Amino acid sequence: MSNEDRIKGWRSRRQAGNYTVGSGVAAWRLDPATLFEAKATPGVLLKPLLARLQGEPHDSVAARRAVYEAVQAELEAEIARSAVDENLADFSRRRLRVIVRLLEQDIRADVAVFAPGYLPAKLVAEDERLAAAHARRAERRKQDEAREARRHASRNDIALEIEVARDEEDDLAILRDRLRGLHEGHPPDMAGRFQPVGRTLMAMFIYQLHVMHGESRIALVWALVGPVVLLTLISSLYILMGMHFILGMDVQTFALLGATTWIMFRQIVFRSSTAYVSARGLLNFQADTPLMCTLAQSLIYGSVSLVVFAVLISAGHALGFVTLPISWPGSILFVVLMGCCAAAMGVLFGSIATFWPFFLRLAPIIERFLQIFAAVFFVSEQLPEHLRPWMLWSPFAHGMQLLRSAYFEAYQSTDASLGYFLTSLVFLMMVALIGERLARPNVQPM
Amino acid sequence: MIQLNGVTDEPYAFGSRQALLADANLDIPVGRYALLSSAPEMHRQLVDILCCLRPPRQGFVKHDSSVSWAIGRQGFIRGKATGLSMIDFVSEIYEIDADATHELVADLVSDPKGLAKPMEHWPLYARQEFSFALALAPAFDVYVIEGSIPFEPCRFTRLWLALFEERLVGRTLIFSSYRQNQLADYCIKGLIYERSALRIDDDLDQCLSRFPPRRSRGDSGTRDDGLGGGFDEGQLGF
Repeated sequence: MSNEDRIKGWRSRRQAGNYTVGSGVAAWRLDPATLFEAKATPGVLLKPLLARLQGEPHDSVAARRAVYEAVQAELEAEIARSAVDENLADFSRRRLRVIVRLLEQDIRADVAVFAPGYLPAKLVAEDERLAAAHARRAERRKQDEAREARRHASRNDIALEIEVARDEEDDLAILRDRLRGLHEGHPPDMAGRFQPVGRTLMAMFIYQLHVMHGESRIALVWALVGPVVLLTLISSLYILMGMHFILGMDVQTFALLGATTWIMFRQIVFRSSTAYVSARGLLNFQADTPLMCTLAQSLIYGSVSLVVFAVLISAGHALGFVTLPISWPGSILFVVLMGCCAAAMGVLFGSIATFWPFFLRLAPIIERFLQIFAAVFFVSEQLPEHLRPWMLWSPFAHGMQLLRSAYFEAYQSTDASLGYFLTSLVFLMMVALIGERLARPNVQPM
Repeated sequence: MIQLNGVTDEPYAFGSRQALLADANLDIPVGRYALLSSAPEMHRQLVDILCCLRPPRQGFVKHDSSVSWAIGRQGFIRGKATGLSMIDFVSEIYEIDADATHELVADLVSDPKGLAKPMEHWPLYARQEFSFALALAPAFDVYVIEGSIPFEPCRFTRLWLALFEERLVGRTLIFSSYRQNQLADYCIKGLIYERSALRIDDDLDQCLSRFPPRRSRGDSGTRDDGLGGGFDEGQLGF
């Protein structure tokens, strides 16, 4: 600004009449109070800039640039004096640059910039964009700080302080207490020791019962229908041929024993072999092994069968069809032993099925084959001598006949051998466990 | 502490036998480990071996302290049983107070009413919350997490993280995840699976840059033909 310009400006100001020295300065200065507020509008920068531009010569680009630089310098001074955060300072600087750019464009386009209420056309949009970018940067900075704190805590093995909402703090305190209580009650030498098998087995038993209950309410009732159908079939075969007694045993009870025991056998074999292969969700617990799942299933269906036995025998006896056993313990023992055979077979089939999944489709065929030779429909003493060995190879036939011997007073099986039956049972269990051992690494948890 | 002794294993995965480990010997002391490898789809089988969920074909894995299940895996949270039955089951097998566990889980999860419904009907976030919440109840010394640690800004995350942070001090964490930033945040060392062996590497940042979280699409065909989405994408079993 040259001296002539200054004198000219002073003269024009004096002519206004009510002029006091230094009165227009306030309109030029950047107001420090509002400049760095969070919600400051662009006006805090625009108005001083316009006022200054109006007061000084602004006809040439160079003159305007002088004004712009003066305002920028003032902004820097203001920033240094207020010692604001670097990010806010950066934001203000960028904002000023945007305003200067838009203002210069408008001036060159001959827009009336000094009219009251003037605002560059795109200022609001640009300013919002700037503000959004600024907010994003602030957010990212906060995340970085959080990450640094998180990594510091991890690397030094200290607990990171998590900020929780006010109402959650009480919850947190309660949960902490509860957790402490839970862990105190925990035996400290749990390390590595296997959980007691019996307890896990019972827990799984109850869990599987819940699952079965969830599957179908009538599942357990349905368990009664199968034996009734089969025993009716067997009895009617005999009664149609005119036989009401087989070697001193009445046909209905004979059929009942055969049918119910064999259906128990069949169910245990099928259910436990599929359980071995497919109960893989529960394998995610170390305490849980496929063998245990299998045994739990066997236990369930064995118990169900004992209940079915009890129901059918008492109902049948009340109706006069069925005779009671002479020895309850003996009968129950043999039923249980047949259940053990079934469990062993189930484990064996399951082990084979982990190598060859199709085997489970063959299982019913094998079971039917065994059923023919298992003294379900007839006992070996009914057969002619030369045919008896064809049946007596099957340990299940021995088991069934021993069961009937224990049940009926009139019948004592001459062909069935307890030794053979028990030896076969032990052998079957051994084979099953060996198979299980081989198959175990192949069963993967789901 | 987890010890591997002469572990050789070839599980059946992605349609054929994969050589997983060959005579691996390793002691894993207390610390926070990120499970990293150039074949991240095999992490599931590795976690099974480390947690003793499946015995290896040869050798054995020994646990000197109680090790958790694979937390974050859908795993046992499926089927027709309800959440309450599952809590009872877990309380029984870990010998902890069932009522206190019920209260802990019900207070922690976002939707406690869903616990009474069969687990097969639960939405995804409910299963994940359940897995993490239930994992706090038994006093584990080694936490194995497979999946993402809760990170969404919600009440469950804040409370669970606060409790877990306190729990983790002085204990071991083995973490397998796709989220590299979470691996860097929570772990100090790398548990590297490379060339059929496991080893511990102290420089986690370098390992993270060497081993990508997901196998790149171009490499996917080299291991096996399976579409790759098999186990790890569908950890949830869908």
